[in-house]
Amino acid sequence: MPAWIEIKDARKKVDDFQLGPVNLEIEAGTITALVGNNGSGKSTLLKLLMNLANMDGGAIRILGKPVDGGDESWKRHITFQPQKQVGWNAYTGNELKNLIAPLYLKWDDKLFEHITRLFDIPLDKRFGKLSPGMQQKLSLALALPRKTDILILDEPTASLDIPSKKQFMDLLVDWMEPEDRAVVLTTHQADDLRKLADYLFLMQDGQGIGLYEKDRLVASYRRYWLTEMPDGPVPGELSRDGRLLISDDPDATEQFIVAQNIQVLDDQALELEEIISLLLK
Amino acid sequence: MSEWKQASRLAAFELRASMKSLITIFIFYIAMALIVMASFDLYLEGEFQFFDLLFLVIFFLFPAWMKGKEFQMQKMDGDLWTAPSIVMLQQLPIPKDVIIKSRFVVHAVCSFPFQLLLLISLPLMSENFRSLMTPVTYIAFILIWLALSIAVGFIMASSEAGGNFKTHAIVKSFIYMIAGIAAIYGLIYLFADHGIVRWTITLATDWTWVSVIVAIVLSVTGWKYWQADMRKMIKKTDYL
Repeated sequence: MPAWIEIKDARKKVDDFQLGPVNLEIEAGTITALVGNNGSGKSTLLKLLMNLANMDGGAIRILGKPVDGGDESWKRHITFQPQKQVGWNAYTGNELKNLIAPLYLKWDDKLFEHITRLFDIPLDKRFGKLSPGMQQKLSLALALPRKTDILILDEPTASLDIPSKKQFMDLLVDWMEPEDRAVVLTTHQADDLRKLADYLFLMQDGQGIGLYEKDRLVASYRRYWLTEMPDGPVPGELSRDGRLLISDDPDATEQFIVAQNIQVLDDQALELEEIISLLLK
Repeated sequence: MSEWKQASRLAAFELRASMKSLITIFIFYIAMALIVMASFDLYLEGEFQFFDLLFLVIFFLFPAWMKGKEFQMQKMDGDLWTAPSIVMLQQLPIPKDVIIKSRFVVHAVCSFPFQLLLLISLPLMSENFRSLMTPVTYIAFILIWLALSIAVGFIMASSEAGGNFKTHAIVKSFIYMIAGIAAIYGLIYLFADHGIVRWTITLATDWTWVSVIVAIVLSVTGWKYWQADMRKMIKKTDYL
């Protein structure tokens, strides 16, 4: 089955910043998180996906259709929630719902009502008058009920309080369940990554570092406290500090340590944040 | 749903959301415009040379300024200038042609009623104007100005597509535009016997049917041209 989103050598220069070439494929039934420092190009890449800017080169296809082609029908299958909603300020939640809902065949009114009740969203207040957190909740309430095949969320939990974050994660997990869907999100929240993401696409200075399966990535980094540190390099060694060794190839490291008759006092998996920090160093 | 029907639906949302301010500004502008119109007789007697300039500003710019602040073209992130609705609607499953048409419907609703009121007020306020016109030439006069509204005024609708402009480039083009308008106005003032509004009265009275035909052609061409121009600008602009 072809990927639902195919990004091939996508490039974009914005002033001094060069995005790409980026290559990435998103498959059905997955949640992929774009992870990177501020200014690494995540939001720009999402806007290229939505054809909100012209690429300097490369191609992006959504459900097989080029996003910059004349056929705009792919937009019916995708929901995009940007970091900051532009043009919504003058409308109330009710007006936005009335504007957006008829554009989507599978719009789920019950889900919309459920989310607005869950987050206690005032639908008669103008979007611009809501707090940033409430704006984000309303955006989510207007995003999930569209029930499109693909959902793109740019920093969806940045302004949410802790209980709302958990509720949002539960909603998203439920949303993924019934049908084959794909989610692409950007986030700086480690919790989002841990609980939601299947894949992490790491970006740095506009370049894609790699696409990693989260569980495999977490399993492939380990920290060892040794009785003594070998003089020479250790297979898989990423860094050492006294008798503390960090490895990105635990099997090779452990085999070597056993062969050297060195004992492991303790070992521990690295936290996902630590692994990301190492990869983005 | 036809594209115009979809566009009208989108326009209705925007107009409803800004109805209160729209009506307030409409009444204020009408009052201001009628004060200026009161000097129309003086103008026709050749005594008020600034009438043309005021009339053009009222006729072409007031409709564009009538929209609420949230719906007007503004500076967004980086060097992007656009109307926020353009960004919003492009993120939804709405064909670009429908977005363009919706901008034209909004501009038409803001401009045509206002402009028609201005044009209707002229014979009511000026005895000189009434003596120059017959019912047929008056219709030709109205058609000329509505054609100008489309051919010139709808640049305001088209420009909502925006673009990626550096601030100094905008300031420079604004200065050029003001200088250009001042030069044209100065030339007319120095070398022509009458001002622009007076000329259109002459066109309507002396070349009635030619004026009607040219006005219709100008309207159709302007209507299509500005939509094509907007389509081109949307394609070119990076909404980042």
